Amino acid sequence: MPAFNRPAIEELFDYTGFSWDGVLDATRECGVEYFTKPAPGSGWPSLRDALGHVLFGYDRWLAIMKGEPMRGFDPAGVQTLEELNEAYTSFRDEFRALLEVPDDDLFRVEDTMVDGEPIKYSRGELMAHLLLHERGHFGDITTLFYQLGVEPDMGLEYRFMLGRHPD
Amino acid sequence: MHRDAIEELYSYTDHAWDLILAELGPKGNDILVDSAPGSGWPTMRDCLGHVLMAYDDWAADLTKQPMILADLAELASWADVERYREQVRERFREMLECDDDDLYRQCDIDVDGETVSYSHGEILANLLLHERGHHGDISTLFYQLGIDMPNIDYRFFVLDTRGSMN
Repeated sequence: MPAFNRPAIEELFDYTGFSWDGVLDATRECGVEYFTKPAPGSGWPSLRDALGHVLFGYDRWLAIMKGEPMRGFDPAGVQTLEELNEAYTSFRDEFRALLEVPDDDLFRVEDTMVDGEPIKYSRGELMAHLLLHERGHFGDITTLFYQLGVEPDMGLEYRFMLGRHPD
Repeated sequence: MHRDAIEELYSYTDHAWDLILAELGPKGNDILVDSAPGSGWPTMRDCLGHVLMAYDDWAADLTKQPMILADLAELASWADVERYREQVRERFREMLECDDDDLYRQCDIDVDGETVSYSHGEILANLLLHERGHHGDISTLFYQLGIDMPNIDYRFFVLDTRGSMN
């Protein structure tokens, strides 16, 4: 059984969803204008671009897992936080559907076409990769808030998802 | 999070750390404290040190030992950073080297003056995901310092672990 077994993937899935909601709540709290406000000095032009990149990751890797073309999600075309969240929810529903297979299928290592090259991965490995990709970008997002001059108290740490910390 | 996943995240964060230091180390010690304006972090040392100090702080809370480092300013060189990393990760491993009952048992922990119930396994998972979260900050710092960030994606770690691209 792989280290990132089904419960571990599901826990990372829940955790990234928890963090995503926290970032969106924080953006609303700061003011929706921060969604597209330029943040010079970062690798990302704006919060929209960093969050959109996370969704681009879902588009890319879900397509690879299915062996189908990408949807063509374009962060630049997203105008509102709600629009972005709808796309996120849609990608996450697709992720969940791909997780609903027997363990043998989830963890079978097989040739997977990545940028035209066959590479051996299991679907479960790519799912863990996708969720850790999302987690890795939360640092960029925190930095972006700082660069925008706002520092909302987001409480994105894993332990906060466990729901035991007093408010 | 179960033990195997914690072990995997432990190995993955080591893999990423090694790639980051392989890029930064040869650039000399000055890069540790070069100003990176615009980031939440004054310097790379502050960000990397924060990641390491989180291990130190939680280990001190959980094992009732004093913290290893009092001040990030003590990290004056990459050798200092590496040594500190080894020390805090060793403490992490010591906490992981217990039976499952001890790893998953809930216990009262003082967190900033509040008593909160966590298992050691939960705190260890929290620490590894905390480090992973700060990879984004580190990436921003690389950008601000004009250095190309190495690719530390999990899927490359998977391939390295398997020992083959195909």
